[in-house]
Amino acid sequence: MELDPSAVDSETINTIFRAAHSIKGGSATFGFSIVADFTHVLETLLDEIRSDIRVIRRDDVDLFLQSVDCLRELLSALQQESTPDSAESNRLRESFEAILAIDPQAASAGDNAIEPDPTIEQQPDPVDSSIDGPWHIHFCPGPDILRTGNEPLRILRELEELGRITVTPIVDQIPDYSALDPEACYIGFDIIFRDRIAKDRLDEVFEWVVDESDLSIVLACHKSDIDNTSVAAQSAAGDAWKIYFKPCEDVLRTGNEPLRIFRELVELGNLSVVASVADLPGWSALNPESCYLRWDLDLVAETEKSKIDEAFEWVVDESELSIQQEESASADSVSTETSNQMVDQMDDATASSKLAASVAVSENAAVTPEAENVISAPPAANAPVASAETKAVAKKQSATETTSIRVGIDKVDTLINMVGELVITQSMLGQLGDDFEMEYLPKLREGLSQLEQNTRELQESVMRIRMLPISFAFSRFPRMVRDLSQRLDKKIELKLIGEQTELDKTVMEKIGDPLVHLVRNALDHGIEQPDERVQSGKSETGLITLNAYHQGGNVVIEITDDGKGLDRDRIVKKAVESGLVQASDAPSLSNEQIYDMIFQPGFSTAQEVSDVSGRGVGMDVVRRNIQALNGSVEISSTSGKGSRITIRLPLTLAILDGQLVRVGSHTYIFPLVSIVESLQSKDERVSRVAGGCDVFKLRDEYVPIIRLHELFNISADAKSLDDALVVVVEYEGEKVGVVVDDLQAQQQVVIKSLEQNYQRVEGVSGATILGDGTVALILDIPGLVKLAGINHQQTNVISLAGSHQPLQSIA
Amino acid sequence: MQTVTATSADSSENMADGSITTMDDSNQYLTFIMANEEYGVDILCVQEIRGWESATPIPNAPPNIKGVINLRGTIVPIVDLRQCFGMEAIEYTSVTVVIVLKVKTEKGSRVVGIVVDAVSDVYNLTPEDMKAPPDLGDSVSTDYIRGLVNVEEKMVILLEIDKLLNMDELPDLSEVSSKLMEVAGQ
Repeated sequence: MELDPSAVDSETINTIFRAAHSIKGGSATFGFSIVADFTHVLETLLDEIRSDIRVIRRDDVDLFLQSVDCLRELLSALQQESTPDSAESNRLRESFEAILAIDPQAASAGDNAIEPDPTIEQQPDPVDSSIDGPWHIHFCPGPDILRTGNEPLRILRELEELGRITVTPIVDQIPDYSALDPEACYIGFDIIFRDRIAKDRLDEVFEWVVDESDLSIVLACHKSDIDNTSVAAQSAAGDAWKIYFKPCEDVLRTGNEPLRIFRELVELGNLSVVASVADLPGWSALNPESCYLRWDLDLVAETEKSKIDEAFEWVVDESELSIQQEESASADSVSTETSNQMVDQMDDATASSKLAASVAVSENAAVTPEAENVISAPPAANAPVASAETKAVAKKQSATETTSIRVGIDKVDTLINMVGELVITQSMLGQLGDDFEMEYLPKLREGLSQLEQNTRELQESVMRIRMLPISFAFSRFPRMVRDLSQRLDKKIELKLIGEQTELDKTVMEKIGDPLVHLVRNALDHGIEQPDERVQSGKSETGLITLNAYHQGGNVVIEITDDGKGLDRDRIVKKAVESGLVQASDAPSLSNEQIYDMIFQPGFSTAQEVSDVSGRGVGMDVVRRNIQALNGSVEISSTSGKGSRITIRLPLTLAILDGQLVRVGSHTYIFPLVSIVESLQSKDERVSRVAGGCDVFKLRDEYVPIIRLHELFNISADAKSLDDALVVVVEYEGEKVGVVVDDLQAQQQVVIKSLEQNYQRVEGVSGATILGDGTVALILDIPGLVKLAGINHQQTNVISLAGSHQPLQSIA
Repeated sequence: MQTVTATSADSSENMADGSITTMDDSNQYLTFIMANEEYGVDILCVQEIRGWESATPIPNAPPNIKGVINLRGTIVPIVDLRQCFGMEAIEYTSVTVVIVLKVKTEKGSRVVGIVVDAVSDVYNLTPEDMKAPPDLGDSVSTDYIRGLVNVEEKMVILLEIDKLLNMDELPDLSEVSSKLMEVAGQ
């Protein structure tokens, strides 16, 4: 929904419109009437925007977004085969209907409200003299029409293609259920064709049925003629009652349902209902539980007033109600009025026709298929409908099969190519092996190196299958930023760069939440209020940039905002308060160390906790999540200019750059990212401090050391540190030295789970299979640190106790 | 004395066919030897039998976990059943056998290898052939034993492998086996 109220792009609206239309079409096809009804209203509004009748406003966009949410819920409810909760959709529908009813009049304030809208909208168009409209078509097919192979619905569909139509079924001819002939057609249609068109075209549509049907096509302004006749015919059958019914706002809360009343009235006779929505308040003031509608009802029935009174019995006290019997003689005027209202109805669009339809539907279930046609359908061509329907189906599938991934055909093709090459290399090597002589040795070497290359390429492209563009994770942000900025009254522009950067699917799934949190932070804490921004000489609109790119074997995601930046003093103050750092040490700390503190659990500088952020939980979790992915996160910030958070992630979770080390006869693997340096140790550089922990002097730092063989209870070659190597690894900004016997190769290793068949092992994050088929364990640095009993408080103590130099690291 | 048919691997397939109609409640058990005692496991749990190859030890694991091996790309832990049953550990030789079992757990199934002295036979047993494990006193749980069977005057202990290897920590069965021996000796 990249819809900006300031710049309405007709193409965008068209896209949304088509989507809405396809949802409607699809859901109606499968009988999800709730979805179809709802989308229909949405579509009507979009249609008006599309045809430039209405200027889109911010409220509308909000409403659209809400409706998207609502639709999504409806769809998921349907997918779970449960009954969707229609309350929300009804509420939204009401508000849509409200907008539909109110706005065109507001927009064309100078125009007479009774004047039919189509004329207004058509005025700018060059009008062909032979083309006229709107048309009122009265179409009552003969009962045998279905047997002749003609299908009224097809005719309606054709009409729909020609222009926008409003169809009201005439169902008073439907006999009792017992007398009903299922093959006969008892339904008539009152069609209002809202666009201008030559009468010939309309006649053409009805060409095949005109002989067997009661058909009249007249200009809408003349249509009182037929209405006269039809109503006169009806009024011969009974008296005409005119009822004005305006329930109080609380009527729905008292358990009364206007629709129920109408249904009762329908049982009495032929009822036509016109709802007026003039009293509907704005969307913001609307109380979803209140009733703002009033109704004008025309009842043609052989009945007594008492019967009508009875229907209103429960609401008469709380409503404005007037029931008058029309003189039969005045049937003409009634019907003329009705016809006027019918035209008026076109303004009110669905609000009234919907009601009429729902009443009609409740009257006889046989009409249900036609109810779908009670729409003012746009001149949508068939093609988009068809394609849209398939789109809707495709969407459904992707939603249900959540565990599958879509792979671009190009990726699969490359894969097939490589497998082909592999087969060729294999057969070449096979031939060599059949009758091998020493002179073939260079050839064999060549073949093997080719095999190696093939394997590596194959591995890379197989890994690429799991890669998805990061736009999957980014796509939720425009909406989120929009919603949040409105809630916080800030103006924010979101810029997404590098959306096509590919990232492993698993990583993507896990990075989503941390990203949301960081963006939310940038919105809430980073970007200032507009007036504050203007004061500090920045543009009113804040800018948040999400940038993703590849760097080495990593994916880097940067979240940049041009807000006020981190407040060093406040962080320091808070850190001193919470005892993370001594007040005396604070000035000597680098910015980086200070900013790093916001990742501490429970650390928040927010003055108050808002519903958006401020509890101090988030950043801790963010860093934990990112570290769980073998990634890192860092912050840089300039006061007043904004801050930037950089996340580094490995491309994939399945493969790791590893450093093989040997301890005794065992091989272990360090993740290469965690290694800072490896060096030869000297016994004299190690000192034992209180608490039983050895520290190693690394230039001007003291680093606690872990003896891997002690930790794992294995025997090592090196008896003293003089013969051993120290691998310095970093964990949460803290350096730890691990003593090993030897460094071996660096290689990419495929991570295999130990937990799958065994259980979690402290200090080990997984296993891998080496070139010779044996299993090697991958070391888990945080686990090792925990296992060795070195925790951060202790190291802090150590560095303070050492007191040889200022505090180097706080974490 | 129960009638027990010992079948060779070849005939076991025929038995499987026939079992649909005639022996619907009989199960096949693979038996193996440890310290001259014969133990049996449900043959449907057995994934494969392979020779011993060196495993990568897991740091700080209990002594009866010999380590993990690479079984065609999956990491499979190897359990020394001798040590589980409190028997003396013996030197592994080329004839030492690893039985790879598929164990059902709440979370699905896991694959575990057990080291035994040798694989013995496949028996076709019905529930009637089985005797419930004797009461060995409160201190010893017999949860891991499905039953006892006498085959040709020899006692075979049928193991409830899903329970035995399901535990996050393998049970110490040394008492069980020694008490069973006592019972058998009586």
